[in-house]
Amino acid sequence: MTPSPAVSTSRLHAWLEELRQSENQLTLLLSLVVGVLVGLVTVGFILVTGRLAAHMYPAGGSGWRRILVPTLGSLSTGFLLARYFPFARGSGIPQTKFALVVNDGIITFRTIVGKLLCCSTSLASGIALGREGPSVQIGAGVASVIGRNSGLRTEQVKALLPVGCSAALAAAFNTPIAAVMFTLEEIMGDLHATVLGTAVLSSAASWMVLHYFLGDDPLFHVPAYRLVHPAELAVYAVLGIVGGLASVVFVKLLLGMRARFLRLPAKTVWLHPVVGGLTVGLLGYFFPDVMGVGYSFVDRVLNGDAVLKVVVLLGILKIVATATCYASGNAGGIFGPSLFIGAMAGAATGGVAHKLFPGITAGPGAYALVGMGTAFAGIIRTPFTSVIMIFELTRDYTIIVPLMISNTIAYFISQKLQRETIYDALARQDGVHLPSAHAHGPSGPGNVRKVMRPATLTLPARTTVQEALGAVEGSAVEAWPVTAEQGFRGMIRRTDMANAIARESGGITLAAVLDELNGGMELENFTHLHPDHSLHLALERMGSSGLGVLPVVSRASVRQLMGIVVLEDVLKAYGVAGQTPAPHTAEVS
Amino acid sequence: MAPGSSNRPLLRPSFFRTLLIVALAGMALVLIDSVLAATERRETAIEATRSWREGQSLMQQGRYNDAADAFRSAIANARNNKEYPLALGQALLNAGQLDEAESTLTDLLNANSMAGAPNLAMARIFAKKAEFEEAEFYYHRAIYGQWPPAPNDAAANRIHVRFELADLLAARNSKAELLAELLPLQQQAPTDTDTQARLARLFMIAGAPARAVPIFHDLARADPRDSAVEAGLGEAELENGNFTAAQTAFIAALRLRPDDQNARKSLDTSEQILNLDPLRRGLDGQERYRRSQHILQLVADKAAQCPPLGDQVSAARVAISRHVSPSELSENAESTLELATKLWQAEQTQCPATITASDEPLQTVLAKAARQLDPSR
Repeated sequence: MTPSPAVSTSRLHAWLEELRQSENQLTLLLSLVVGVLVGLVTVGFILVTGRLAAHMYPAGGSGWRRILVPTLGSLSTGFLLARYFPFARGSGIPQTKFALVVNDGIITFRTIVGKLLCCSTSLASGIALGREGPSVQIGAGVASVIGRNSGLRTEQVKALLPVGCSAALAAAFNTPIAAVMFTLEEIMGDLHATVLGTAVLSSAASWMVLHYFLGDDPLFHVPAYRLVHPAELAVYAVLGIVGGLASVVFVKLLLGMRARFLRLPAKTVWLHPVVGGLTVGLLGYFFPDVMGVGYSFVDRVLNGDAVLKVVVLLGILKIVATATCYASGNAGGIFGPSLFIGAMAGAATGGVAHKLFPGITAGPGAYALVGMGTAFAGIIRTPFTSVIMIFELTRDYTIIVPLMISNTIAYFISQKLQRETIYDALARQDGVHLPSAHAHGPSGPGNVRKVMRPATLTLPARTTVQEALGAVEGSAVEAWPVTAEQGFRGMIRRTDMANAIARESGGITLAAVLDELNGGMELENFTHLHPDHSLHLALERMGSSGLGVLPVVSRASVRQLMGIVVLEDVLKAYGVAGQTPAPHTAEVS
Repeated sequence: MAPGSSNRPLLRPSFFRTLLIVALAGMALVLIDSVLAATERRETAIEATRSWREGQSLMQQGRYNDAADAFRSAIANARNNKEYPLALGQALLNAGQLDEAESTLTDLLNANSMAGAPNLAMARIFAKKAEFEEAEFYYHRAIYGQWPPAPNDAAANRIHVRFELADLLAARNSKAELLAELLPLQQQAPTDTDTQARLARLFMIAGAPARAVPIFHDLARADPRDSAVEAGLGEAELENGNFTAAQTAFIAALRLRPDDQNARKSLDTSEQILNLDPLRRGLDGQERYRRSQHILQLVADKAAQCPPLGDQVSAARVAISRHVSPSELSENAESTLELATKLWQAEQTQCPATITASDEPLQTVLAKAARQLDPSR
């Protein structure tokens, strides 16, 4: 017998009420909803970008179009980014991590719209950036908007962000497993993160949406490659070195160029992307394959269509084009370009090896395939993700062992020559300190937040040393924070003040003493801690700096002082401390 | 107590409103994505067809590398179309990029190992690489493979492929394998003049002129004014040892086309053979013996240029000078011819350089004699 409408409504209400009461069920439902919705948005993003590009560059179009379109595209997106969507600039990965770690999981709807609009325009116009990073921010943004508007707690919203990231990457790259891996490895910085289940669910849902609309077609079509001879592993090791070095060159060039752009006057920021657009346009006029993300050319190279001179040249030009486009503030990511650079480095290495040892080596296509993963591991620094991703992109298992060898070497070289990961370095350039896996460190007795004291005694930077010494009289700690109008300036020790009096006079200000002590060094490089840092790291930094007191600053801005950490408190947390000095409560006004 | 198990509502009523908005947004996105996906499918299919046509045009112009680029573009826009990779494989083959062509076609064959056209293209690649065993393997897979009904029917395609394989075997002088391909072709091949003439010539290369003769006869009956058929018949008869019939055919060919220098040369050859041949029907014992002696003389003169055969040449000269009674003529004609045949074979082995094109009549007569004296050959 069919239940009456009233009974059905009652059952629905009961189910919804039950859902409201159960966090687990709610999480699963939202993961599914986010997965489907992000899948739909990402598919739309891919299709819009593709169709726009096809219309901007019709078959048989004039060569001048390749200069004009990216220039105009970057000009228009430059204006939009500067005027309306400042948070939609660049890749989206650092912004997502910022939202997750610092900004309570908040990514606004406006940012999502801006990212979609600006990225579609710039990528379709031929800017040498990728769609995957932006998709991650869009996915996280959709999750954030849904979470916040559903009235979830901040922690619940933050837990939903990786779910959105995973769904977005699964659809953007057609790699559902690698999407989950990347979310854990890069976004969360923890392969054992508790969001694993929900990330898998959303990734699968999003991937199914992608399949429904775009079919079951891998991003790259690769012939079946195999290891020709065991000695070939040595060549793959060489590829690891080449890929690692190319990664470091790319990252350093990008960061160096971006640092220069950031020093330009703020009022010119809307014009910066044009530099990238014009550069890629001029390069594209002579070498069209430099433009855009270049997957079709990568596909050709993977299938063995690799002339040594061409792949070397395109690899170098792509490094220049992508670094310029990104550094100048265009919207787009570096995932895709990393694969392009890697494929060219691989094809070049493989091409040379095949000429020298034709009997024991595969053709350049096999090396291009491994090169993609190698550069990804070197640039993005997610070695697990890169192995899984290459497998998913190509659906070819036989090349995994050479890929692992090559990846490990590239990762090692990249880590040695460029200590900070590209996303952390980009965030740092924006004044944001993102947590690295190292910062989370071994679990130990807890984190900095646990022993952090409020900075009750702060010294204004304009105070003279003589006045400051009077103010800290009787304080049990040995260093104090100095603040100015723009926020925290640094820590000053009693000995620093005593030395200043001995050298100069008591009339010198604390600001002058700090400037002298820092020797022109950027404030961001001053020894400090963040609340989520481990106590292990706090001890390490105290030991290396020789300071018994360290400032605790916000990840969003190192000028935002949150408190101080004293050595005795850290030792006490480890259960080896003596007495804890009483905090000094006086404040100089 | 776990946080989720609290009786405090986790959600505000805005949750349901948000779910509703998300559902509406989802439906709108499904609609938008469907339209976009359909647009993309349509536009990429158009673009793929345009690229493919451009590739075909470039192929006809002989610009194979450019054609390959166009076909690659077509493939990128229509992955499921099997015609485009095949066209790419053929363009790469013509461009001499054999490894790439092989790689492209391997993918196609992985999808369907019995597809006729990719197997044929693969066979051509290996033939160009001079890897003939592989080439034969793929030719056979193409012959027994699947062919689409258009533009030609499957049987026509199979015959075409078998002829191509036969040409390859003929070029390699693989007579036994060639004959194995020609026998089924004789049953299946169309009966038009060109095909039958091609078949007959291939039979001759395969060392089976007896099979070529009736084909040429049929063709000559069908079109008595075809000089090429008469010339072909003459060659087949000559090869088959029917020198009189060959002479008749060459005369007929020259009557139809007097300026045919090849036919004239072959006619001369056949006449020389007829004048030399001691086994020709209708000769009396005297004449048969005289011709045998003459042949031995010719062979001994040539063998005299080959020092290792000095003893055998001396023996031949003794045989030539020996007096023979009329009753022994027939028997001696045979032994003389046998001696000439053996000496010729020794010369072929020891001093092949001494034998030239002008020795063709002598060689033909001796070959015929060898067959008749030793039927097992």
